[in-house]
Amino acid sequence: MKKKIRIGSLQFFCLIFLFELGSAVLFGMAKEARQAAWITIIFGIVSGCILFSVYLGLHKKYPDLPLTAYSRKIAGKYIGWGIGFAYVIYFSYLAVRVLRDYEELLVISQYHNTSLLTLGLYMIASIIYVMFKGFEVFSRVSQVCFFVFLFVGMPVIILELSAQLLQPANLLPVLENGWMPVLKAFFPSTLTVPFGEMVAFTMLLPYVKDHKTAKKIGYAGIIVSGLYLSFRTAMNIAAIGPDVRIRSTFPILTEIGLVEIGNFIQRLDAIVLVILVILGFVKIFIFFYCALLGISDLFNLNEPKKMIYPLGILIILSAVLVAPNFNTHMDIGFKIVPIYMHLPFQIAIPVLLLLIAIIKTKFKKSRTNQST
Amino acid sequence: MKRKFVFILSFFITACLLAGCSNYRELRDAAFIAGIGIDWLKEKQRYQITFQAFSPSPAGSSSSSGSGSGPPGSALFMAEGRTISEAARQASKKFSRMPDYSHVRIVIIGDDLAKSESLNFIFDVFERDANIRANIPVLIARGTSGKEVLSVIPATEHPVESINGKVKNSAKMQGENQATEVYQIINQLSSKGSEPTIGGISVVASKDPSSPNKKATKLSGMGIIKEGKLVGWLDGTKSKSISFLNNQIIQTNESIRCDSHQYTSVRITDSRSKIKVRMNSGRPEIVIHVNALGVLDEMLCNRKIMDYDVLHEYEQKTSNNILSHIRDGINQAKSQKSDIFGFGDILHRQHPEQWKKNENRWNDVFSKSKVSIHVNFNLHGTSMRIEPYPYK
Amino acid sequence: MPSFFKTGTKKIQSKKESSPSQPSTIKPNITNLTYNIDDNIDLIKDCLGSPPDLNVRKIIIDAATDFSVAMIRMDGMSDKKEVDFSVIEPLSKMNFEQLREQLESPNSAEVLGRLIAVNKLEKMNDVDKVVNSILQGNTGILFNHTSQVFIASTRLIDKRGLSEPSSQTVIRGPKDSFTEDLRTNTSLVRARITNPKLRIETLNVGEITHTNVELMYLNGIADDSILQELRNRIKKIKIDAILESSYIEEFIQDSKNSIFPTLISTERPDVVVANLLEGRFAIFVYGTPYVLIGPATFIQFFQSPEDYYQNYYMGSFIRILRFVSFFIALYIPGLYVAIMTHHHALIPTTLLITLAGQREGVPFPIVVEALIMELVFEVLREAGVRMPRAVGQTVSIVGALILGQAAVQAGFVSASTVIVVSLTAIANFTMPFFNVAIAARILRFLLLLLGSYIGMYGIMLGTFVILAHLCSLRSFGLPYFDPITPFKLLAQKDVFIRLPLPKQMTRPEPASPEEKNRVQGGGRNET
Repeated sequence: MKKKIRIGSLQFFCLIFLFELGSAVLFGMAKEARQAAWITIIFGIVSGCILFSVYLGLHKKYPDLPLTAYSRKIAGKYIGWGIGFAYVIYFSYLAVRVLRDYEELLVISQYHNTSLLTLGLYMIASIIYVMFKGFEVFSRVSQVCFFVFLFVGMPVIILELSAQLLQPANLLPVLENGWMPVLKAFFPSTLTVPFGEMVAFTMLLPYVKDHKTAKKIGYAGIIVSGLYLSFRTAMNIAAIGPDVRIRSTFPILTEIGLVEIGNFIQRLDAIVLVILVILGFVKIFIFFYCALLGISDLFNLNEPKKMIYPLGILIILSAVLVAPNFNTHMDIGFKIVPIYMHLPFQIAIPVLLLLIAIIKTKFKKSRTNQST
Repeated sequence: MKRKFVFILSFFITACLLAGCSNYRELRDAAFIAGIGIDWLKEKQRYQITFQAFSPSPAGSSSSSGSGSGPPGSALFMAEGRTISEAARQASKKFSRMPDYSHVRIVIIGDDLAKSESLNFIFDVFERDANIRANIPVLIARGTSGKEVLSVIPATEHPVESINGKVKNSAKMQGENQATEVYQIINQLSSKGSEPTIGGISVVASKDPSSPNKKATKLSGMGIIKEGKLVGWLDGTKSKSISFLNNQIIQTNESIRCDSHQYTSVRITDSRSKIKVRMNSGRPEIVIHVNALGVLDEMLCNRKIMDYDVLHEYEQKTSNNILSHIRDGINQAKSQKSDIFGFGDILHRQHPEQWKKNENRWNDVFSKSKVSIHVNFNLHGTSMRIEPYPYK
Repeated sequence: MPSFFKTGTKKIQSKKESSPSQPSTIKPNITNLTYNIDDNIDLIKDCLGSPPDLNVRKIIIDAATDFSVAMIRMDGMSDKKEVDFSVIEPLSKMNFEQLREQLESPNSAEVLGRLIAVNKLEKMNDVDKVVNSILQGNTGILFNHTSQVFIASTRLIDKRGLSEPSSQTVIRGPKDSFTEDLRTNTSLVRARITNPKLRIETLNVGEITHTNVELMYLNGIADDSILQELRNRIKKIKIDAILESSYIEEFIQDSKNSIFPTLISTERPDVVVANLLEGRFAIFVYGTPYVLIGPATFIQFFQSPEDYYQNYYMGSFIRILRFVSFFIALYIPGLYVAIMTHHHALIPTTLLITLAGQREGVPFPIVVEALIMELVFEVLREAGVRMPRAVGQTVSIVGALILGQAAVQAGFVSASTVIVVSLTAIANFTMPFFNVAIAARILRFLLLLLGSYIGMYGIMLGTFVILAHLCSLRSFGLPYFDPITPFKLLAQKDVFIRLPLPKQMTRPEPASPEEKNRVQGGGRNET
């Protein structure tokens, strides 16, 4: 098909880790569950693994094909093409949404006077550069980014601990309103973002060395990133309390803003912003790339790189046009997108495809058995 | 190659046209605000905001190679507005530079504002604005206005640094005045189970001849806030109760009677409290255990300190002292019907179902609470000497 | 394309031969050696354009039979003494009858070789080859009545002695460095590896200069596929002249447009030896003390030989320090401008007051100021390199003290900018290989502009671009970021820290897979 790209296990892990953290860290997860948000995330890990096993099942049947290609094999040429095209739009839309999220983050936290368009332009320009270098280069970059993340992120946690910011009492009482708020926060928002978004990897799994690595590292990535998110959420609650968390747009920045040690280490938000930009970069890149892969696969393009510019410009512009203001953007993101976009694309379609594929192979097998 | 070049060129042109530099600000175009005073002008129904800024002294001119020596200058200016942001914008008419709020170190609230107007809303801007921090200490100008407090200029320090230093120093050395930061106040204002306390600062006449305007600032007491309004003050040793119960004691000092008219001083170096709250037939039952540790640091009478009885007596007396601070503090809070210690939150954590029933009338319920305090104090040293020098 | 050059050289030759101004008795269109010695001498002279440094000595041995011998050599390129004692003397004393008989026999070179005491004697009858050999400093021996020319190797060129390395100095470690002479250079390496596995291959590059380029590697340890690729790439070089190893470097590196070097160039023999032992190759070029080593990874540019000569705690510490200084050299000006113009909140309050005080009254915006200072520094540095040694000191004093101090005092620039710029400059000098420092020097400006334009966000995105570029680079197929990404845990022993040598018993990536262990069988048997 194309020239063979193979990414190793550590790079695959880094991709999943940074991808999962993406917008989840930014907006704070499961705010409605209050103190129990971290428990919700543990649920998310479990459900994320289950969903991923569906994607893996499809990958096992078609180890060399992305989702858009095997959807045609499973659901027939025309319906499958339609499904593939819908996924392209879905991935592009998610890239747009994540870009908008990060543009808003930057505008609200640091760049009050800069236009969304400028910020988006810079982000997409650097993404386009990396994309021209290819996915392999990107996965290497993301691995270095992972190290940077560890290198910058861990000291921030240590600084927070030494600033005596954390009040574990904020995490109590556990489950004061029973399991209902936890479940409500879990379904659909925590389930779909970030764990369900692993559906993007259905496009990328063919690049992984082999099925066994994809399985092992995939689960490990989801579990480790989930546990990290859970831990970080618990820290967040301990630092700022569930009430502020619900009120604040970017809980992580609120939390970091409180760190002050000896009048010298203060206002680490700009440093945390660096980490967040890394996460945003990885996430936007992956969605963008999935959309690109989908297009080149559906239209059988010989030169998929030609589509990078138009798609990139489309993403920059739609990121500005997708919502008139931040509140609408958030509202769409938390109320409409999970139910009408995430649920069908992340759960319904893959599960259906897998079922059809299994039935088809069973059917075929029994037929071949009969004939022999 | 050609297309690449065209792309790069078009990128730079668009980037420049989009004016990304609009966020660019030179240091010399900004005035860094150090302290904000918020007062309420009753007759105008407006907020009066006082800004105390760092004014950079020009360096680099001929001889001053060691710039930064000496205190940074201060610049005071005021503005009025219906919101704090409006006032801040109004101030631009009086000041040549763009104010930068990222280095605000203190917020002073005028007495009038604290007593008559509600504090509930004024902190919103500190949370909402990304530039200003939420961990700024807040003080109430006791019996005066924020403007007055900020216009007291000490001889050697920047006024804001001076106030900030006092708050930190007092919290460390004595534990009577704690710095309450904006985000804590917001948390407590919005929580049903606790009320904030905000330290007070007053302006006194200065006897220091080098002081420019013969005035000085002094911390005094902790203000009790109830439903957003200042209702009373915890003064003197009573205000230690907050530090003891919140485990904020770093060091403090207790004077205990050892003689008919002489005292012995004990330095408390560590204190841990454990609080249990539960409802018992409609009344909260609060059980407080305090474990404190200290050393004897001054002795103005001749007693055999090696004697176990004496030691024990001192420990007992210190315990009683601590107990009375805490009891007095709680009693005053009960009489003001304001749960400044956050017992409600503790009940919420320990018995959520009992809390649910009393949530909405907690302050009343709290005022009827039954409090039992147990203090255990251990003297673990007598510093460099064992016995005091004998005198005749 | 390639044929163009070949025909070109031939054209030049024929032009010279046909030129009528040459006072020659022979017919001008003779291009091959004849049986007449005078014709042959004239032919060779014509080919070279009868230069003044061409030395022709003709001896008539037997006038009766017109048997004569001629020695042609280039003055200054050949060993005069050796020609006198080993060639002329035996020839003048020999029994010419016997010799004349055997001159036309196929083993004439061997017969002559018994008489002439030079270490190499060759026979050839192609005039181009003869001229080339003479140009290389060999002596051509011509006899009458034969078209064969004997070439005695008498090459001797004045060369400077070994000196201390000038650009890659160490405190502890060998103090010799390569010179311009190729043979000296290879001998420096050979002396350190007395092992038959050390192989040298000669290649000739440069259509006009015919520069000797030698390829050195350890047979078996170096990966054959990489070597084959290297030979192919060198053979593909089409250039008229090779003056320095950088000419080769630009032709054979994987990415022609990269700002980062993908081949190491060193003047230290110990560096070459260490790299050969890790399975890399070295390219020696005549006329330059800088030897190319490849395939190179990014990390290698941070490894100084001294890391291994000092205690490994020190070695690791210094290496981490070097990474930090690379970071400083690359990022600090950009971060400084970004923080000073976009992120005031990050600066601690007291520092902010001091900085703001310094900025008062400075006329330029901080970006312009930083750019000017960076450029001034680059100018000073360039001046320092080009200045004659004697005044080099003056430049640094004028530059550093007078300019810096005066500029701050006059209020043209703020002291903090001067500090940042000089910090950057000093950090840049810690790189053991200056060509990676060059990358930092240039990219710094990019980051500075991005930082001023859009703050840390811009710097971060710039970092992505630089990182992606670095990750996409390869050196002879080896990823440039080799042990970091793709990540290899075992190879981390010599990346950011250096483990003690006994723990470094495996070779890094480019070595051929069969020879991964440095020592076989626990270091006893050598094969």
